[in-house]
Amino acid sequence: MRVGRVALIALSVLVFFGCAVAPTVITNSKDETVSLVYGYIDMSDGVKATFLNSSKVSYVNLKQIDPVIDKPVKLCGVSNGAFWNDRLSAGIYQVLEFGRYERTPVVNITRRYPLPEFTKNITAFKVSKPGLYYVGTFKLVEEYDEKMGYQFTVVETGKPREKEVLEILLPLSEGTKWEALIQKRIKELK
Amino acid sequence: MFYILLRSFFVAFFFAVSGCAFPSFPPLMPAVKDLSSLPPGKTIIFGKIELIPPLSKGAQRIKGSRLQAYENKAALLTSSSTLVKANEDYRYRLSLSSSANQFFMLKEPVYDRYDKMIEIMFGETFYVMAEDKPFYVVASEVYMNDARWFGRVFLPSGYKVDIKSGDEAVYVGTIRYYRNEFMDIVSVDVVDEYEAEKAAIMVKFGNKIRVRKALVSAKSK
Repeated sequence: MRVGRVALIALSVLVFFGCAVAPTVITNSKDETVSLVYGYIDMSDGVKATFLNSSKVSYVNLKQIDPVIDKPVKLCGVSNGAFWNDRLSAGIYQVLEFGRYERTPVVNITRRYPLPEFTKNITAFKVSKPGLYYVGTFKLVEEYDEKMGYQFTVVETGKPREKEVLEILLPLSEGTKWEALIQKRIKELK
Repeated sequence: MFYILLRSFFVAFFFAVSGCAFPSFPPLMPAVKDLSSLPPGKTIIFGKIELIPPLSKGAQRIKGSRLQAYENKAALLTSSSTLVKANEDYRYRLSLSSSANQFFMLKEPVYDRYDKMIEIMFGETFYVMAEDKPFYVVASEVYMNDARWFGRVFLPSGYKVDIKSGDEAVYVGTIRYYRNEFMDIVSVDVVDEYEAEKAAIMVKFGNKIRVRKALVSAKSK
């Protein structure tokens, strides 16, 4: 399934003062009603027009679609292409934007891939009762068009599989309530 | 020290090349208050646009921006030509924040192909003044995000408002847009509420007003 093409920002955003930093470990929450949501984004195709040194995704933002709240954008943790959010309450969500930023001595360079915000996109998912939710594994496909410049689509792929995504997350969840749930899920997927 | 100077250079350079924010909207089709404000050669267009379910409070993040006036409203963009199509593209340009310490890409709509704009509050009957000749509603937009990172939803449009010379008031119908949680428009109906709206316009502007029904035919994409 393909997402509609979205115009890509022609030039990376130059930010002089830093972006919010994505979490690097999974954390516990006192709120027993929240879920751990996870997925994977392969950005290896996304370096054609940038000055970036790496193609690993460094931030993923989710948007809470329903219920509507004041601050609907949720920053995810990222590690080796996997992303997660360990504090999502029941609702409907989708990926709003992902990308990569790198700091240099002079500027921070950010490559942004905003997905269609006001239409259901390929990453949409629903959280109901507390637990683990796998959003999917997605791949960025970037193409150059002479008229439109760089364009991208996001497609769902089977690789890496959910089990491999969970294996990335398992060491990051050590000592949390999620650790046992992740181990159980990995066993189920064997 | 070198890096501070280099950053200062970037700030000064981009401040110089970045223009003022946000493009102009097309001229507004004015609302009609009473018949005395209706000059010869003009026609009152009236009808209603509904969004079902209505927008939740906070769904539009436009407070404090120039778009704030568009809360719970649709902006209809018109043209007198059938050749003009909706422009859903954006143009991007580098801009500098007011605090002068951050650059960002400004995402702007492109409105230069439209003649006029009509502001319509969802669920309320609108009365606007148009020339007494047909025009096309090329695009209908709902503004969702503020001007810095512009976000809008498109309501299916591309319909003709069939005004004839000499028309005093033309009823176009109630256009009902049905949406899902994501703001996808899943279906469109045009409902004929002519009798009730005719009675209402006669109360508002007097019972001598000449009213004609010309329902539009808005369709789903």
